[in-house]
Amino acid sequence: MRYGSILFPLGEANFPLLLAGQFVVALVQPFFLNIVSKISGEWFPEKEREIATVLASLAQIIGNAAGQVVPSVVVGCSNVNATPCPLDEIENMDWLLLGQAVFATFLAVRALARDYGAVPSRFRSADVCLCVVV
Amino acid sequence: MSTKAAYDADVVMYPPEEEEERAKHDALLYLNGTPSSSITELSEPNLGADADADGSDDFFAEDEVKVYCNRWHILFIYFLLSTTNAFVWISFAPIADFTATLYNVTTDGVTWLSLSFLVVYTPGAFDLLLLLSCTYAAFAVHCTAVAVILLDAFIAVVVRFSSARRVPSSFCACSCSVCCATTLGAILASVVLIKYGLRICVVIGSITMVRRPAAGCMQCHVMSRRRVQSVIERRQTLRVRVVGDDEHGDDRRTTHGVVFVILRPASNVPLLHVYDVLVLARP
Repeated sequence: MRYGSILFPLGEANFPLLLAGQFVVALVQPFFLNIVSKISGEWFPEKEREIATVLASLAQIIGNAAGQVVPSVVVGCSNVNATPCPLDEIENMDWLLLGQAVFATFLAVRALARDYGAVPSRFRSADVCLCVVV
Repeated sequence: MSTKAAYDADVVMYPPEEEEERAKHDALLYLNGTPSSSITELSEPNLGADADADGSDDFFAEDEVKVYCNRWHILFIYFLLSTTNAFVWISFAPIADFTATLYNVTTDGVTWLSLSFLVVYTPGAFDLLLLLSCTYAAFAVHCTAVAVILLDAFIAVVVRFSSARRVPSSFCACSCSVCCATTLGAILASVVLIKYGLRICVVIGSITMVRRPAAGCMQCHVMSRRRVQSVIERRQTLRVRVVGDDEHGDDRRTTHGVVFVILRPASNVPLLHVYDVLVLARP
């Protein structure tokens, strides 16, 4: 949706489409911010939980830092003297959105494609089954 | 009946000399009966010291932790996904002027691209409670509904007062539509979940593979056939366990009673080692 907002000339609808894409991405943010303790508690033994929590929490900070730096580097104006930059001379905004979309899709596929076995550490390994609740 | 009834079904790897005999026993694993009678048959090989009638065995022992090598891979994937999420969140802030020019909006409009994450987070945090714990399901649903309605009102006010000067009319219309839709959705979800809260919570939990040992929830784990096969090949015990909550008396036990139906052995696995297991919640 975000890449489509810059790819297709939709007139006034381009920005709402971009905003809608942001909202879709935002839906998973509560999950990422709050699931840290769940991951460290379920998957890691007690002595490793601190390092797991630190690493997992670090992701948001690094993402924020990258989000501040990378767009500034990637997106630019072909005419450095123009302030503000004219519409026709803005470069690489589409590549930024495309890169984000491709990378996120790759990660999602990578995460979903692998069989993790759904094994929590809190319980024994074998207490799992192919289970359907009707 | 005890406060918490536990039904266990174990499928165990036997030495080769016993497999022939156990294959005959296999027929017992095709179950259709009540949980109590059927599970007794299933639990026979390995129940022993592991479980007792109260369900207060060491199954939930907190100090017994089994860890897996792929936990670091899980953490790594989570790290990358979380980084990407944060990257997307803030990525328009440093290039607000370019974005404003490209999309023909003001920088105030661009601010909403970052603000959207905070807007979604407030109700989303309560939704996460619903996924993590059935115990707080009702609280989570009500808080979500209230948060959504308040945020919608906030967004509507902001859009209304800024639309005359800056925000495109299509954005205003889109925002109002979203506000109305989410408000109605929140009210509807609240009403529905009051009535069917626990059942929906159980289904959501099974989909997301979140474990909820809290009272009132059915504990349900999901595992692929490959994983089942791997467990048994390593001579580990495959345990099928459902915990039902009986603390609210017979009605509730009836509602959330379970029936194990072990469907069939996998065709490519010898004898009785791998089964498709279907756990049904009795209506």
